[in-house]
Amino acid sequence: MTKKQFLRAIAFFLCVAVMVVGLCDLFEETNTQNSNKRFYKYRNLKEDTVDAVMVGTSGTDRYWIPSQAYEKYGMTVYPMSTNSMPVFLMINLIEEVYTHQNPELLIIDIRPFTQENIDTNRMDAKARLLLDVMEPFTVNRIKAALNTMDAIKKVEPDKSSFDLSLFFSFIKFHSRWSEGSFRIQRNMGDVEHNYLGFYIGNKMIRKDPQTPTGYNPDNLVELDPICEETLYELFDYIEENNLNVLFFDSPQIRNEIDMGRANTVYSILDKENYKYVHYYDENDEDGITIDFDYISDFYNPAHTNFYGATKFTEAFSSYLHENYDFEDHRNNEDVKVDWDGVQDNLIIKIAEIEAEKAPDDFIETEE
Amino acid sequence: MPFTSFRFFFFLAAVIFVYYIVPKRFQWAVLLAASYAFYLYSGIDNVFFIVGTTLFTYLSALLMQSMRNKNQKKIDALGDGLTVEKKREMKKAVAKKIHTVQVLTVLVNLATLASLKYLNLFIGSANDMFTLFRWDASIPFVNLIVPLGLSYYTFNSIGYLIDIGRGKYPAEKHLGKFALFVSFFPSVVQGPLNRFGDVGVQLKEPHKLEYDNLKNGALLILWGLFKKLVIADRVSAIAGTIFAPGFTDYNGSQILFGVLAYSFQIYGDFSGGTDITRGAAQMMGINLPMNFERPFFSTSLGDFWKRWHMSLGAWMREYVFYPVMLCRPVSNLSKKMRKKHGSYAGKMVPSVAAPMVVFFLIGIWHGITSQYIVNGLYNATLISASVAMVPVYNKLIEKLHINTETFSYKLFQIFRTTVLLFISRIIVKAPSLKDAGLMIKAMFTSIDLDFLFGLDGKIYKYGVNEKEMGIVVFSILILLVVGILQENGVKIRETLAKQNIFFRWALVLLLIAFILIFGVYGPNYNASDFIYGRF
Repeated sequence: MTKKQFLRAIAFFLCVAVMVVGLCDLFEETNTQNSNKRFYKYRNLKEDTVDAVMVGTSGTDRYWIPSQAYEKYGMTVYPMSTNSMPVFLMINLIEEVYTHQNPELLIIDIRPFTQENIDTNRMDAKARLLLDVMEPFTVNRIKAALNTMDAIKKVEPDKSSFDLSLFFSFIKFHSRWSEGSFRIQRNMGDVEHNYLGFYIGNKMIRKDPQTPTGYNPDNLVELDPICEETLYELFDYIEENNLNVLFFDSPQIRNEIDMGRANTVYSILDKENYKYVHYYDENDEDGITIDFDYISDFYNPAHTNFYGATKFTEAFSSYLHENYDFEDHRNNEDVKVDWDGVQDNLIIKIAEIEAEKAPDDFIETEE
Repeated sequence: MPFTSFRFFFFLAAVIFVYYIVPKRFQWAVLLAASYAFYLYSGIDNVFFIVGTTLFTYLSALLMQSMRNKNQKKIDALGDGLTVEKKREMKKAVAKKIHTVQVLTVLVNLATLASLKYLNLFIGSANDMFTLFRWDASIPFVNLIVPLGLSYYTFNSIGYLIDIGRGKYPAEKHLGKFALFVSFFPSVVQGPLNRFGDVGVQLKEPHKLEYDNLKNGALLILWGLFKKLVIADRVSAIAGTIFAPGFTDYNGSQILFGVLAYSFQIYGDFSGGTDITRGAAQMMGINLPMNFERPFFSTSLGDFWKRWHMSLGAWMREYVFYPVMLCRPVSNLSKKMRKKHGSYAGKMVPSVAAPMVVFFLIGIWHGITSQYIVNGLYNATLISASVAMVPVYNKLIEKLHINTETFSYKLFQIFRTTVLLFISRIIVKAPSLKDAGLMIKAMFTSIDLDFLFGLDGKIYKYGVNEKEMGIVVFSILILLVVGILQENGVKIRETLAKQNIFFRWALVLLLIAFILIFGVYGPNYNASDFIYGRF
């Protein structure tokens, strides 16, 4: 093989690489439009305009309405989450947060740490929800893919965990050509269709009556080993990076075992001197009061609907306002460009959904 | 490690890299280590069998070689003191002994193959018989694994033993190099069947890093992936649905559609896999024998079997067909027939006997089921009949003044062969022989053109939607155009190499993109299912 032939081969492989990158972009996954928009918008916010970021799972983006808190206090608190995100990706999610902004406060939902029986089949699918909204070919995404493979290996040591499609979503989604769903929608950050990460869908007006969870701090249930391990890794990460954090427990209707796991997380946080808030007992020093109507504020036991989210945001933004010294950004032009008018659009959107769909006529939508 | 998996291509890239950077005298060792690593990946249990076959065949061949050498030494020592007759007698005597060893060792290899592949089938049949005759007996099934590529490496070993027995070439003294011949990883899963005198020799030789080998090998792999992932695996859903057990709506058009899909599936799958195999070997400077030569253009069943699974055909011709034709019982019968019924009848005996045996063996090689055996005999009968009928055909052609050198006549022959092949495919693919009969009958009696041309849209209800069908049809057209060019003597890769670099690269990049987008692969795809990997 001559030098010229060698160089020619290298050049050809570069062409193939460029083509593959292009294909990855074209076939990027399309199912999770809400998550896509959430991450896309976050990456495109003006630099250093976010006071705090809430990280977690669906319990984060269903509860927190960033535009409502901004309208009231001028604070910019953005939710960064994907549905049922496996707990072992928490640090990757946090790294994603700090790659694009430098928030003063990191608010961590403890819900992912109460996950039970992490099984590999669903783990892979859930991990993809985060991986696929991360920018392709970044170091953090590669680390997240490796973490996913590690976790799969831990749960099922005999099963091959190697999955190239975790790095190249194209491998998973290329067959979408036959459904005609290429992703060419690049302009996902426009105000009209953007609610600053807040989840929007038909289910957000559904009302599913619930019975409140009884709070018993003495009920302790062991955490899943992966959850516990990740929690301690997270403490190390927080210390190493000197992060200012607040843990919170997004309200949900829990069974006794799940509540026991949440109590275990509270006790670990107490032991490690981390601040947290929950809403189960307002008399508790870490509890906050939310005036939920359990008949009409939840769309299922694990999620509030828009009406419940409004109440949660009201209470939690008030808590943040009282306890943290966030700047009022309502006169900051860099912030206004992204945050102004969003709450009005959200109210209009909810009104549209209410007009189109009666709550009983609920149809499961994307995500 | 499936040949269409990314893992295989990483493995192949690593092997090629190491293969070319080590000193040339160790290249065989790299390939042997890679072959065993590849084999180990399929399970450590598999390795015992291939090691056993390798050692047994290696030692048997050395034994035959030493018998021949000793005899030769003896003859040489006695020198001029021996008459020609005596020398011939001594050679004949030792040849007989060698033949005995050869037969025994071949039988041991065949027995291993049969016991691993068919023992439980035999036990099942025996138990069925016991139940049928209400005998209170039952043979327990044996927990056996069928090692990866068992048929292929066993046939390679048998071919080697026969060649050594015949004194075609000396036995390989180097165990490692012989072990490489048996286990060479690109061809161990689904062939092609290799001859030691050809591939074995190439594997021992050092190979220089040649750009053309890398390029042409990679192109062949791409072409194989196109056939396997874009065509075969896409249409597999159609054949899978139409020929599924319990499918009873035997409309002739559906059957025709199913068998057409299955024909492209099995061709794309097997020839695609072979292209990947040959391409991988070519990248290391090793030329494996061809296994396919555009079988869709066959003008007769005999021609088809010269173009389809060519290495098995060649193997059968060399080690079964000619020995059967020339064996004493067949010769005796031929002589008797000649005496009684004339020379034509005498000639027919070997012409019928040899294909019957060969196709019966090919049938059971695929599996001991009534369908495979019937299919083997169906092919054998047609091929024998076509040989027997040659004088009749010739007379008919002469009387009807048919010009056999025209395109239209060739087209007629291709059509005729295709119909016969469709019947053969249905015999094998139908859920049972009875279903096959019903399907074949339906295929000739109830054709609905609206269905076949997709006019009523029902054609898209077999797991391939309209868009996917469009890609399949387009891909098959590419396959046919390439086939027609090759039939006319165009060497695609050579022609491509003469083109302008931008055109060349654009074409290859387009092919890569086409496979990446339209290929069937990914997390929900089971790449391990190469149809011929099961045999």
